[in-house]
Amino acid sequence: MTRSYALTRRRMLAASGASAAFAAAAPALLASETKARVVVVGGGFGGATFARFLRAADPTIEVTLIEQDRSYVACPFSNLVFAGMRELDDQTFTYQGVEASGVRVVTDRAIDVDAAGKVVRTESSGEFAYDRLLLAPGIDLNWGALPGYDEAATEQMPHAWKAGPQTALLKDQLEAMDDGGLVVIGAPDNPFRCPPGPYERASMIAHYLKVYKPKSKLLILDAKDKFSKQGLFQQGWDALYGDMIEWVGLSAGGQVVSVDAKSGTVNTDFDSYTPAVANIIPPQKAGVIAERAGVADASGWCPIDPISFESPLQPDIHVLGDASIANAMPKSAFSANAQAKVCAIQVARLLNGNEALATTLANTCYSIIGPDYGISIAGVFKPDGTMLKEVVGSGGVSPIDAPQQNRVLEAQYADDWFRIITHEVFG
Amino acid sequence: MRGVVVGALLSVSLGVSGALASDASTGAAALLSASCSGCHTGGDVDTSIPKLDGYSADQIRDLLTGFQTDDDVTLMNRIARGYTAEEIGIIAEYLGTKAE
Ligand SMILES: Cc1cc2nc3c(=O)[nH]c(=O)nc-3n(C[C@H](O)[C@H](O)[C@H](O)COP(=O)(O)OP(=O)(O)OC[C@H]3O[C@@H](n4cnc5c(N)ncnc54)[C@H](O)[C@@H]3O)c2cc1C
Repeated sequence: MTRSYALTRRRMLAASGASAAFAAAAPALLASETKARVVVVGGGFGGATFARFLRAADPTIEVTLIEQDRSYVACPFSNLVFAGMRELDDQTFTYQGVEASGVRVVTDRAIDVDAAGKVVRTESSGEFAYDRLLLAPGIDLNWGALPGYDEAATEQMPHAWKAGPQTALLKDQLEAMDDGGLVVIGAPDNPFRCPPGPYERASMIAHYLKVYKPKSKLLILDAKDKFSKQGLFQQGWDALYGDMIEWVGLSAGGQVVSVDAKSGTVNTDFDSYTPAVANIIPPQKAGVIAERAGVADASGWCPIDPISFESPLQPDIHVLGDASIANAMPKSAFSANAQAKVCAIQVARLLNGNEALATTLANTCYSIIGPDYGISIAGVFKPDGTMLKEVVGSGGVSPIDAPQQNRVLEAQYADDWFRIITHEVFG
Repeated sequence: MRGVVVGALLSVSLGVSGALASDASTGAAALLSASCSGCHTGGDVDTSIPKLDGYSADQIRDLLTGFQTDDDVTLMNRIARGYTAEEIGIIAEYLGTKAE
């Protein structure tokens, strides 16, 4: 017998076991077809997961997902595209599975939220009233934070921090480059989407250069003095790429302070570079709809209640994923998915007149340094006052002295994780 | 239902029960177990990450407790150390397959 049947039956048993509590709620469930309306903005790892799980948790709740794009291009492992280890097609998902879960999917852009009137306004599909709203818009680039880096500049100096055409552009530039060229990656200060991402990207570009353009050099100009999984990345770079990758941290003058896209110049306080390829990952903030809704604070990100993910700034609006300030919990797809499953249950409880319950969440992020060479960071997080804090003694990165077999296994697990989680998110 | 991930299943079956929204202990168990399905699927998905198919509650409890002091695994030790014995018990009961 497969697990599916076993679990289903078990849950049904649990339901009859909990009959007293269930009976109290049941008449209300039957009385009206739709108990409540929940609108979700953003169909990424956070929003799509939330929408599906909320429908499943309580099918009497009407769930509408507003997503601006017809298909979703996933960022995790989009760095492998540069190494020729994945295609962008492998990263692309549709919303059919989400619709099949009973979620109404509206392909449109949410342009405003009237928090007092509890209405979301879209570009061309009208208005959507909600009892509760979930905002999971991911990031937007913080235009203006890096002088010279505007929308036009992204065509010369791609960020590729939202996967899709930007990823393809950066790959094209790398392929067009001559052997012996300089590639610069400009990495931002914290907080930003996917803390290990720039260094996985450096690894994947180095893999490509090593095979096709071995005289080339990769320079990481960083606005920080340390970075996620640093020891493991540097160990892997030494082992696989020799001295091809050079990392310059903040106190060594690494921070990119301005760019000039026309001349192709990248400036730090001490130096000026004109690389063959410049991948500028600029400062970020919560998706702009969060500002429109009044749930972002002065930092550009959204504070949340660590139990219910409800905004302390606007009642009945919940925020999760990259847009939220989840403190110790990193901005990752794994976090967004875990938060979404938790938040879906909390919202179902709140809409049924019950309180949200404090719980524990986990995160795991794999990074690929080369073929058969994977590393990870894991963490377990609990609400503590207004914060999500890492449980003391838990989490951390792969051991630096782990046997090579672990690196092979973690590369395999990374690949499996991507298939499993995207199946859970998009069906 | 074959080939459906544990997470989706969890939710589908929870939907049938409706209990997580109304019953505090079911809700708490579902919340605590929510992170697991990010990696551990069920059904016939082809994966080398161990699936939870067919593990009893006792087996899951023993595995998670053992991971807390095991340094020969890739990462479950780092995760398991974040949970108390009580939490491990709740997760095991929730995800464990009931004896036939
Ligand atoms: C190069 C790279 C590598 C990464 N690798 C990993 C990894 O290995 N593991 C990992 O866990 N994470 C990884 N991440 C991080 C991961 O991609 C993000 O943390 C995750 O996507 C966050 O999910 P989210 O739902 O918050 O936002 P998103 O996934 O960005 O989803 C937001 C959605 O909202 C939509 N949207 C925004 N505003 C509106 C609006 N106004 N109206 C309608 N729709 C709107 C967008 O179109 C988008 O579909 C990586 C990121 C990058 C850039």
